[in-house]
Amino acid sequence: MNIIISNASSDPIYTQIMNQIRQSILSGELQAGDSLPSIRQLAKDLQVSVITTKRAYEELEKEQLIDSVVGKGCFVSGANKDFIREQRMKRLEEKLLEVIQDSKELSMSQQDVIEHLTILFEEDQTS
Amino acid sequence: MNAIELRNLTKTYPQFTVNNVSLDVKRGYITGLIGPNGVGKSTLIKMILGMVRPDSGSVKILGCDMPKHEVDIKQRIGIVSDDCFYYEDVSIRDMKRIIAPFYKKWNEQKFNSYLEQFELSPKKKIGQLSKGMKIKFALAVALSHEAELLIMDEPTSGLDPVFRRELLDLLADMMQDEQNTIIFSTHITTDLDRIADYISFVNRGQLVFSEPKDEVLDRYAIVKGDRQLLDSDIRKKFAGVRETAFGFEGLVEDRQEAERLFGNLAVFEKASLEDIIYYNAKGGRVHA
Amino acid sequence: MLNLLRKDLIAAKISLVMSVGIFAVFCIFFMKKEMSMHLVGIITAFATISSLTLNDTKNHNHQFLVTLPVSRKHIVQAKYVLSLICIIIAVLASYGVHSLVKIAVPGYIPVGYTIIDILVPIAIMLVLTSIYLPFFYSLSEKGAPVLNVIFLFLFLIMGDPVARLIHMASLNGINYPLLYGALLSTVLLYVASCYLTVYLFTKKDL
Repeated sequence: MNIIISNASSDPIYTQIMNQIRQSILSGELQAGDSLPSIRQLAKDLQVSVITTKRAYEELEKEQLIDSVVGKGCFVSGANKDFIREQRMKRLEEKLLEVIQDSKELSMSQQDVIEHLTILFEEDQTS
Repeated sequence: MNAIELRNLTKTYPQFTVNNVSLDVKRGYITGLIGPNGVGKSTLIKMILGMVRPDSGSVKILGCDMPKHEVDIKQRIGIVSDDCFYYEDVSIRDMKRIIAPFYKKWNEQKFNSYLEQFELSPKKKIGQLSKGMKIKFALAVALSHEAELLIMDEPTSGLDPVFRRELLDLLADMMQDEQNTIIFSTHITTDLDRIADYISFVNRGQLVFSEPKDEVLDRYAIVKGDRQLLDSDIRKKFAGVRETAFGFEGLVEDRQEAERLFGNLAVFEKASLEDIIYYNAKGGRVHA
Repeated sequence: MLNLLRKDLIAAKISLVMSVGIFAVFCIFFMKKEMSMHLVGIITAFATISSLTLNDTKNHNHQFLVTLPVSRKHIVQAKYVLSLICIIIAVLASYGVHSLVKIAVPGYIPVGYTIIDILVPIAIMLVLTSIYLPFFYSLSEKGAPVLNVIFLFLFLIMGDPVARLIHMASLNGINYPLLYGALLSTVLLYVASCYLTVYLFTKKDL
C-alpha cells in the first residue's frame, strides 16, 4: 500500500491518509483481516503527528472499514462486506461507462461491445 | 495523563515576566513550545528543570512534584539543549564516564552505537565540538538512559538539514512507545513541527494557546485582499495585519467567521505556524 | 555522592596536576623557613579547593550538574567532603615531605614538628573554607573568580604572620583542652557552613 502526502494539497493530512487507505481497501488491494501499520509506526513513516494518523484511523473505523483491537493494532474489517461490494460495483460501473463512451467514439454498436466482451470472457476462461 | 503539569507559574525579572502560566503536556505525544526569541520559552523550560525557581506556582513532572522528587524525576528525563554546559576540557569518553554512573538505567551499548551513528569520536574534547555536535552528544546521552520524557531547548538551532531529518526519525522511534513524551522549544518552525502533536504558543511571557496542532492550523487562516476592505471593526478580527500599497495580508484566528465576513472578496490561505508566530508577535498593524 | 567526587577527579585532572606542581614549588622555596610546613600545606590546600570550585563555573557547569539526577544539596555536600579530603591530604603531604627532609638532611630544617603542627593548619583551612564556599555558591559566576583573587591576596598578606603566631603559641606551652575545643568548634563551623551553603544554593537561579 502506498500513501503519499502532499503538503501543497488543500486537503488536511488526515483526509489524505484516510482517502488513500480507503482506496486500497475498496480496490481490493487490502483484504478483510489484513493488518494495518500501527498508528505510531505510520506517523513515523509519514513524518506526521500521531494525532493525525490516529484521526485518520478513527474516521475509517466510523466507516466500519477497519477494526482496531486493543493491544493488537488495526485490521481491515470484514464487517462491512456489502458496503465494500457496493463501492466496488460503483467503480466497476464507472469503468464500464468509460468503455461505453470510448465505444461510441469508435462508432461500435451495443451489440459489438457485448460480442467483444463475450470473446474476452471466453479467452480469459480458457487461459 | 500528563507528563508535565505547570500551574500558575510566575517569575519576575527586571526586564520581563513569565506571567501565570498553566500548561499540560500530554503523555505519549510530542509538544512543540513555540514563540519568538526572548518571550519566556527558555525560562519556562528552566523552571520545569528546576534550574530557575519560580516566584509562585507549581511544577509536576511524570506525576511527581518538583523540586521535592527532583532526583527521581531526573532519572527519568533526558535533556537536550544547544548548550548543555559540559566540562570543556574533557573528552567525550571522560564526559560519559562522569555522566553514566548517575543513571540507574544507563545503556552503554546504545550509547556507543549512537556515537557511531552521529560520527562522534570519543577522544574529541568537548570544547572542540561544534554546536551541532554538542547537541548530538546530548541526544546520545538522553537516549541512552531510557528517558521517558525528553526535554529539548532549541534543539535544531545548530543542526544541518540532513541531521534535522535524521532527528525526526530518532524522535519518532522514541515515540513508538506510547508512554514516552517529548517537549521541545523552538523559534524556527519548519521541520520539527511536522511531527508535533500539540503546539503551545508563548508570547510576551504568557501562554497564548496550547492545542492539537491540526486544530490550530485549521482554525487560523491568512486573509489577503484589498485594503479598502479594512475598517476599524474588521481590523479587530485580525491578530496582525501587514499592509502594503498593493493590499493587505493578515492573520485571523477564526477562519469560518472571516469567511462569512469577507465572502469571496478576499483570498484565504492556510496559515503556517510561522505566520501565527509572526503576526501575533508583531500584533496590531504591521507596515511593510 | 561518590559519583560527584568521581566527577571532580575526572573533570579537574589538569588542576590536580597543577596542585602537585604548586606543592613542589612552594616546598623548594620555603623549606628552610620556620613556617614552611604550615604554609605549604595551607597554600596547596587552598589552591586545590579553589581550582576545583572554579572548574565548575568555567563553562556554567552548574547548569549541567543540576540536569543530572542529583539534588543541589548533594552537589554542595560533595564539594565540602572533597574540600575536607584535600585539606587533610595537603597538610599531611606537607608534614610528610618536611619530616622526610628533616631525617634525610639533618640540620636543614631548624624546627621540630608535633601533632599540633598538623592540627592547626587543618583548623585554619576549615575556617577559611567555611567562609569561602558559601560565597562561592551564592555569588554569580562572574563573582567567583574575583572571590578567589581576594582570598589569594589574603593568604599572601596573612599567611606568614598567622603561622608565626601559631608557632609562638606552641612554644609557650600547649593548653590541650583549649586546643581540642578550638578544633571541635572549627569542625562545627564547617558543618554549619555546609548547611548554610546548601540553603543558599538551593534557592539560587542558575
